[in-house]
Amino acid sequence: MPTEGTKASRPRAGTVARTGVPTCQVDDNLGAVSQRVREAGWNACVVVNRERIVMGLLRAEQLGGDPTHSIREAMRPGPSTFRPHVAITEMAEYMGAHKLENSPVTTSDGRLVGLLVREDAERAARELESTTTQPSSK
Amino acid sequence: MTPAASACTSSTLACRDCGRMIDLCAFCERVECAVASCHVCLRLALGETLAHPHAHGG
Ligand SMILES: [Zn+2]
Ligand SMILES: [Zn+2]
Repeated sequence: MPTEGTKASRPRAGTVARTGVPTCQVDDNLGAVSQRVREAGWNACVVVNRERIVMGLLRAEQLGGDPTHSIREAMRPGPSTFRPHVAITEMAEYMGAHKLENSPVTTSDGRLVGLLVREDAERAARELESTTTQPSSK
Repeated sequence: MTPAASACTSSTLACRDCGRMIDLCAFCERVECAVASCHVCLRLALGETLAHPHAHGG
């Protein structure tokens, strides 16, 4: 049920996305990147170019691939990315329905904003729901 | 409801909303998705999404 609540405090994909997500470049080595990502406590890494334009994504499946491969060989090229302004409730709903663990959030020119993690999105959506379901019979 | 003629096609996935045949779900990029969506419907639902159809290295 979409509620027209206070727009100012409404969390969006861009505000919930984790900006500290590990990144790497296409010429990096998968083994080294996987180790760095794991040590940082992540199971995903966004592949970017020097301008931080998203080139690809490494999820757990790709990170567990042949460590001698380059990122170019291992990554999923051209992942679906989402804009920062998308409402978090929508993203949480979609991520749950599609069982998607994470999704990159980018600006309109493809620049990385952060990685939206499903549990963060669902938590933010629940919090938003609990604050907007106060009875407001006019 | 109307089963599309399953003649010689590599894609067997249909968008849940519009029925268009797609190779992958535009949201989760999986071939096997019970709630698959095409790019058009996804864009309508979530505003804009940006997929890079060709991620050339240079
Ligand atoms: Zn569709
Ligand atoms: Zn899907």
